[in-house]
Amino acid sequence: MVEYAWLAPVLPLVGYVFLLALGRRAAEGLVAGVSVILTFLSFLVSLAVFTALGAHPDVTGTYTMRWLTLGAHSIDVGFQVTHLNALMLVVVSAVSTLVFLFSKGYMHKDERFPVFYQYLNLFVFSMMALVVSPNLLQLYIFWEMVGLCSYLLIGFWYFKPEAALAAKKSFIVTRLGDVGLFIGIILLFLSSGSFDYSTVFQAATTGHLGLSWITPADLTTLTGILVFVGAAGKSAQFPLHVWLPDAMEGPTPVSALIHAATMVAAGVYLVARMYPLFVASGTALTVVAWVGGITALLGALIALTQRDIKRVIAYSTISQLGYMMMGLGVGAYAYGMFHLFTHAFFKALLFLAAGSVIHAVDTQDLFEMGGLGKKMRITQWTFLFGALSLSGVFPWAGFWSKDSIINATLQSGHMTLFWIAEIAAFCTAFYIFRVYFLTFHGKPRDESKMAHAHEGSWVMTVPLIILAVMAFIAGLFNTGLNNFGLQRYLMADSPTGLIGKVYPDNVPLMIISVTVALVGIGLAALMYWKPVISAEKLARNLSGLYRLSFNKFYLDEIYYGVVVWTGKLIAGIVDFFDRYILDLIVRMLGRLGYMGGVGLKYTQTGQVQTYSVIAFFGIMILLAIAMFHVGGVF
Amino acid sequence: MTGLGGPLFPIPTGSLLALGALLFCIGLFGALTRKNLIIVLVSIELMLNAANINLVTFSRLGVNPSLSGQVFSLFTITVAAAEIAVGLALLLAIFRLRRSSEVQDLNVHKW
Amino acid sequence: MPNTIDWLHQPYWMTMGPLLTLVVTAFLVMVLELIFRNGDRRWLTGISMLGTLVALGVALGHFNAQPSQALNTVVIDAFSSVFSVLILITVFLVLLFTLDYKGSNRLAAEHTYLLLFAAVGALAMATAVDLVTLYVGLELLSIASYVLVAVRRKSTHSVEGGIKYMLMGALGSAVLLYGISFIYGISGTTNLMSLSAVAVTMYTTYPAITVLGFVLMLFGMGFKLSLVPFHMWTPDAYAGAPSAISSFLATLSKSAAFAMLLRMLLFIFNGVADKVFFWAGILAAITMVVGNFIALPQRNMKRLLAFSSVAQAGYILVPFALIGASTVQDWPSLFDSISFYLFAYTFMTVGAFAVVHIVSEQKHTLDSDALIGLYHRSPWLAVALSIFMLSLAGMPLTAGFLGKFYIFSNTVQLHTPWLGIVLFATSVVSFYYYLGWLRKVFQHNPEEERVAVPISLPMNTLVALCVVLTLVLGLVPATLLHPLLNAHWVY
Repeated sequence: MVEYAWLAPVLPLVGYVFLLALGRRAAEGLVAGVSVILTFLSFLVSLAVFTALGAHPDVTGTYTMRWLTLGAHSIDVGFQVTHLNALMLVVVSAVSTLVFLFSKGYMHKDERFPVFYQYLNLFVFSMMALVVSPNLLQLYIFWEMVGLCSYLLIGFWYFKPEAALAAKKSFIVTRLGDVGLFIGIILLFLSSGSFDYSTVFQAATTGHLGLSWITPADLTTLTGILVFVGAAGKSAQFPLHVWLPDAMEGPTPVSALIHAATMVAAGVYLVARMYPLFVASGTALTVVAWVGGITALLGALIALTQRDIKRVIAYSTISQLGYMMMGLGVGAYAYGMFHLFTHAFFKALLFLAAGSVIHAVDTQDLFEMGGLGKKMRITQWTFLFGALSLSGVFPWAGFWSKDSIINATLQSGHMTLFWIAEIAAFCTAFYIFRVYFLTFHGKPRDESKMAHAHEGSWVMTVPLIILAVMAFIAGLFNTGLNNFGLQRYLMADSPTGLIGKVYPDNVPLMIISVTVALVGIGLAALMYWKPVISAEKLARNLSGLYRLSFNKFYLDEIYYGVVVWTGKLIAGIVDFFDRYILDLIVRMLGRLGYMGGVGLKYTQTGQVQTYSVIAFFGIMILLAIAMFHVGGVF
Repeated sequence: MTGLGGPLFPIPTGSLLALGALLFCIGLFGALTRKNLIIVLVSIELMLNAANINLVTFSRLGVNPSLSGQVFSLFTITVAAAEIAVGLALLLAIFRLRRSSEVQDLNVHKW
Repeated sequence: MPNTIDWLHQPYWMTMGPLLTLVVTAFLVMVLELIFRNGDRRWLTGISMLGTLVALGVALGHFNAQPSQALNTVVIDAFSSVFSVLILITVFLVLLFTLDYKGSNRLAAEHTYLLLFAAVGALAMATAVDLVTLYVGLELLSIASYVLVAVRRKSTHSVEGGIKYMLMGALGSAVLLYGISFIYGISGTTNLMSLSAVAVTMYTTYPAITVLGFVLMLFGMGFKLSLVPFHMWTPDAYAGAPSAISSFLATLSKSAAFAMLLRMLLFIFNGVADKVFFWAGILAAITMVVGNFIALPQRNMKRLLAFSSVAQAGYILVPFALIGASTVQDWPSLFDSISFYLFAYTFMTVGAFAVVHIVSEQKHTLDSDALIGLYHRSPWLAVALSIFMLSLAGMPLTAGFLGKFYIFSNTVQLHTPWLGIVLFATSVVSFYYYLGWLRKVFQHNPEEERVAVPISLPMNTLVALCVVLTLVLGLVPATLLHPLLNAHWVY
């Protein structure tokens, strides 16, 4: 089965080509139907690969063909199946299928409905191809392609100026990270002579990663950090997280698929994929852990005060991605991926449920909603499941995965990170239930909008229900119930235990975590459900902190000030140089070249004997030089 | 490369090579300057024959005398004949079209 | 030593299979042409294509054969196999091209077997290891080409192109032959294998004559390859000949001449490569510079393609020059560069000529303004032409880019960066005229009616084939590189 893994990415590509052929006027049913069926087939393939690997852990394999040869080096293309890759394939294809189905309802009557599905198909193809890439170069190509798809989809409603701006911002900020990744990949290639993971890891772990100007140990750290910079850009880690909230300008299914479940997880995946490199350099791993921790806390703090429902969830995503990175960073490889797995479901669920709400009431402002629970039962209950899972309440999925990460921070001796994680967990529970209560409970704050609110059709509710089920049970894949199947599965990639550690369950800690979550939920209930505590008063009393959080720690403004203004200054200088000096030179050269061409043209007199004379004149000159050079005539 | 004269004809190799070179230059001069296409063709023939003289000389008086030089020149003569035949045919064709066999009148293509 | 040869037990079929197949086909077609004098005789082309395909099958069948030789004259090795396959594919494409000439536009029926005989000569140039056979092969190709250029004997353009080509070609032959005679003189043999054994002795005893021989042979071949300053017949002959024949001159006769030049120079001068191959570098640089600049102001489409082919020959000559800076271990990579570029060059050039042919037939002009609005008249042709032009210019993701990239990386590896820089700089210049065409193609001429371009089935097939092959080479170069890497190069 494993040798057919290439089908998983190719099926959405077929879908893309097919939709391209259908054109922009194709019927919605046909477009959505084909897309859903193909991604579902892709899901089945992924699942088959996943289970095949589970049954026989040693059937992992790399299938490549030579693409090009550069002297002694060669570059291959193909695909590689490892346990990690198989897990990612399942996650991506599963979420994609559901989102494709949901979009049928959400995007109904959009003018560019087929185009939307084209982009989505292209994205799913790129994402899956990224996952199965056997080497860093191929990964990088698809890394850029998912970035491109993200750009296209954020700016899908390009006529909204915010959407166009957000698309640009996301592209530029992630590009910053990509530059780091690119330099890292080039350094790895130069020092190990190959783009292949296995060769790079071999060189890194045995200390053979060598360049003349840097010691192997430093080079390992440097490349590790550069790769992480790329991952941080894609996965919205501090300080490159600023693009993700703005990306919420895209259609909500896009937010669910790309900016919650899959593409933003690509950074986490990349760190996991390159784990041997990070392990070889302890420093790089520590950087990952701390950036992850800071991001987790920062995201959670900002999410406390946002008014836009999608932005809250977006900051929540940033925060959760921080958890994953932190998990990887403290050495808990399997737990980081486990959280990626559960998060994909409950966060996609939260986004889709939010999408369902937005679809119904046509606003994203929390303070214009309220009391929707009565009109949208399914949405309310599924959102509640997602929120409970995110908060980490026993026995929802998020509880198992988040708790194992917190446990890992404690047991690996990172006390500060442990406290950061607990505080962030408290905030998480608070902000998500703030959203829940503001949206679904209390009295409607804007009657006119609430009046027409109703549940969407089955294509929208069915994915919600499936995801809600997953948000409930996905955690059980890695519990005592199945003997911690997921972590055993993932650790099979490296039987020597080189990639990370696992820890036994810590029941007292679990109780603490659940308590923290429940306290957060309780506080949210007291403030927004049964207003015992006035939110406004609290905000006024803590106005400094409130404003800091509400204004996202002023990071956007700082960036604008520093980055954009320096950028403008440099651009101004370059522009001057370019316009008045380079341009002049280029123009002169162009003119000269053209005149030279005209001059040469008129040597073609049409007289064959002139041609011969020129030819023999050339022969004579070159011959004379040659003979003189050899030194001696006969 | 001097005085590798054979037993029967004590002619130095150099003279024969000089003859070849002279013939080549005469042919070249003719090919570059004569106005009539037929003369140009004949001049090119001379250049090819210069090479033939070289080949035959070397096959008898070269560093390692061997027969292949003479065989080569036989081939060359045949090929040159074919070349000239085609040349004359083309000459006829252009003469029919332009009523002229002057090289200068080949001036439709230029620039 | 003829008496030591076992005449009966020679691998004749393996070494000469494709060549013999083509000879038989050519004579068959010639006789049939004599018997059936009337009507539409394009079925003769069909037979020729069939014969070519059979020959191609034979060549592919022996592609990875162990190197061997027959009669000390013809060999089979990777070198001959690669070039035989290239030559046969090119002949096939050109024959497909000629199918488009019909009715009042038809070519004299002789062109079919003339093309086949020219291909026989080309195959001889790719497989022979004796100067006599190589020379005869070259002349067979050349003489057939002279006639082919003048195949429209009622057209002044065509005949004049033929005569100019013939005069310059004959001069080149004379120079080549004169050079060969010196090499023969100081070695006493015309067999390349024996020559390679005495190359070093030759150079140490008579350095001046060796260099003279090398330079004269290089220049003689330079006429056929249209290297600057021997290139001036090229635009006239290409513009005069029917487009199918122009594409044939630009691709097949160049590939064959490159094969012969490489085989000849490498065998004769392998021991003293560092002393003599430098001159090829100078020629390559001049050719790249002049070829690209002279094309800048050109408006006639076929003349522009002619100059483009001059420039491209300059690129391909770069790896030749690098032989001087290389050791035997580097040769396979240089061979790869040369043959990859020739394959890529063949497909994009034939394709470009095909599109130019279709467009000029519709508009009855060779001026590049005929391309204006092509995208609106035929999007398919416009896209195809864009692919060929981008590939010729060397845009990434196309075959032309990879070809140039290989050559460029060769120059860097072999510490001759100045040639790489010239290559890079002149290809930047070439962007100007290649993309100039693209601008016209996508320009919209509002006054013009949109008359769809009529395209015949053979032309559609030909353009599609060339597009696919160019893209395949650009996107999956392994399809060609892999066989090249696994080949046993020189016999």
